[in-house]
Amino acid sequence: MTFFNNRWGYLIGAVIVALVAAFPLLKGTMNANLHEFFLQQITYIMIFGLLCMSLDLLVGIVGLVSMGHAAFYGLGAYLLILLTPQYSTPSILTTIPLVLGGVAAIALVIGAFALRTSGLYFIMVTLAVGQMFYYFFNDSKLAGGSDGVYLFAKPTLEIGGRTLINLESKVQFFYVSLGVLLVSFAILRLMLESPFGKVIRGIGINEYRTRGLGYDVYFYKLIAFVIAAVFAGLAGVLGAVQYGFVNPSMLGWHMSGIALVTVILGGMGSLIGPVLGAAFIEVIRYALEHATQHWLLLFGSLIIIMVLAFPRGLAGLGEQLAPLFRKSRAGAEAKPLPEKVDA
Amino acid sequence: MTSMTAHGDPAFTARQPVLETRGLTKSYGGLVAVNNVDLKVFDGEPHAIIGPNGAGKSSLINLLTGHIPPTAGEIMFGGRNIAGLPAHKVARLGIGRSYQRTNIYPSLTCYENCWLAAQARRHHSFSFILPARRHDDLHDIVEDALVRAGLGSRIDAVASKMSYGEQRQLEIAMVLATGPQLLALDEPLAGMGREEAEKVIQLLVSLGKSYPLLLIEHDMDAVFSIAHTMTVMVNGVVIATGPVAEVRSNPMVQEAYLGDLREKY
Repeated sequence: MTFFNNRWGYLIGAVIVALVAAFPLLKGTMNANLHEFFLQQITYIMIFGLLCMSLDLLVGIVGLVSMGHAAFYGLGAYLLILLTPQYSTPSILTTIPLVLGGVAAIALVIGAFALRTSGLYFIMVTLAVGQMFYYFFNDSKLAGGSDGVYLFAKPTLEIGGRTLINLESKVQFFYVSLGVLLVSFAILRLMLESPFGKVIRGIGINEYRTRGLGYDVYFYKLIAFVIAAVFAGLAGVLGAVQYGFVNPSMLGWHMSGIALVTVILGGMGSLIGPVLGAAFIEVIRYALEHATQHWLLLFGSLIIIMVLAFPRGLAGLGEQLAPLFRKSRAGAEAKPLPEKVDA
Repeated sequence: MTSMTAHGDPAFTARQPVLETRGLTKSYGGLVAVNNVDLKVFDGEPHAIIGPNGAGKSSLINLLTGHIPPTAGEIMFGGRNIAGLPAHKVARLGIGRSYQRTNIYPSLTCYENCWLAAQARRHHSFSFILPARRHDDLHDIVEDALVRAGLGSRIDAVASKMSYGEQRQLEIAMVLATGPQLLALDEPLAGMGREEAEKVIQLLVSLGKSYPLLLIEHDMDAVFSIAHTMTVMVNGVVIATGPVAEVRSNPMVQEAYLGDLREKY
């Protein structure tokens, strides 16, 4: 809750959103292929950012470290394809709610078991569940096995015979992804201010006391788990639509691991931090990949340095650096603020 | 739920215990931590449980508040046997418990700490949209609890930045905010300096007038100034119980516990 809690945070956020939203307008100013490539990359960052934001609800707020969160991302993608009748166009109004309902139902069952454990055991159980889904889709003929499966047509929103949104258009899909990300962020922020949000935050800080106060923490954790899964599923739907293709790697532990690293790098518990983290990781990955073959080595080192230097992540960067600026401005007069005197 | 302070007609309520245990036992394999304990807590008669380390005091309070299930015995509270209920259900029934080791939300303010406590009074908190601060029926409860615990001027202080003594007060404020019908306080003075302790003793004396109070405490002076009734435990067994003055002069207690203490300090 550091980045967006002050005026500067909101201002910076608004500027970033405005810049991102303006990107498609730059089409004429650069090579068309390059523009399309960047458009695609930014869209992917937003989708991956949504996945990381949903994971942050578990890791940063409730204190549940899940190593299988990508399972719900992949399930969202696979269910979109499986629930769309063959050779037809999925509808945004009916198919997608159905997909998210399916993800929620599966998350409810998994959560009901996984949340019987905690700490290291929870990590292990979620890892195992994620891998079960991975191998299920990898080995079964249901959805193309290890080759993956194509989405026949991209979802559309039609009302009264008129097509309002057609995700075949890359620009429309870009704006839809941006909209979904912003609305998801708003919903989660609102939820964190609600009584439910206060309780799950309390569980994250001190679960034992929260139980002692009279909350059945199991159910609160379960609901939070389902909510996080649904947003991950939503990201998965977008992920499937973006490339029109789904394969088992979307569900694997590798994906879950990268999302977890991104959450930590971006700043746990801030919701927006993981989105910044997603952008950071994708940009660095792109830059390093083109610079050297051994980019993973550099990538790993950089992440370690970042985590050591900025334990509160990118979202906490402003707060962490603010005292430096304050000190240099106030010069020798700088001294700690007086303790708040009793009013 | 209204906060019941049970100040009815003393003649009517006087001998009806708020909390009663019958044969309460907890054993871990061969070790019997709490052995066949019968305990009665009455309103208006603050009840202290004392005993040397390892006497089973903490196990007892953990049993009473559902943090551990008993091996045998009954815990009668509010007209029913609550033995074996999980901690969150016991808390909902009205046993407000504070902890020996400070157990708060360090990164939240006093107000937020107590808010979470007060919100626990609600049937549930599965409310997702309306911001919590708009649920302003809880606001007065939170403020009242903080004022009663002596933190009226520290409402917006972040818990981790307060002194240890204040954190202990917050611990009590949180219990009050849950709207308890019985206070079960586990060494509320643990680790406090003399001055801080004095303040909290005053607080406990005044709380003892409005709530049925069960207290586990090491500090003898505190026990003598707060409690009306005293129970002495040694090795999981109750060796004496009754009015403070009476138990104090009990030779067995002098031998087993008080004498011991005098040497220690």
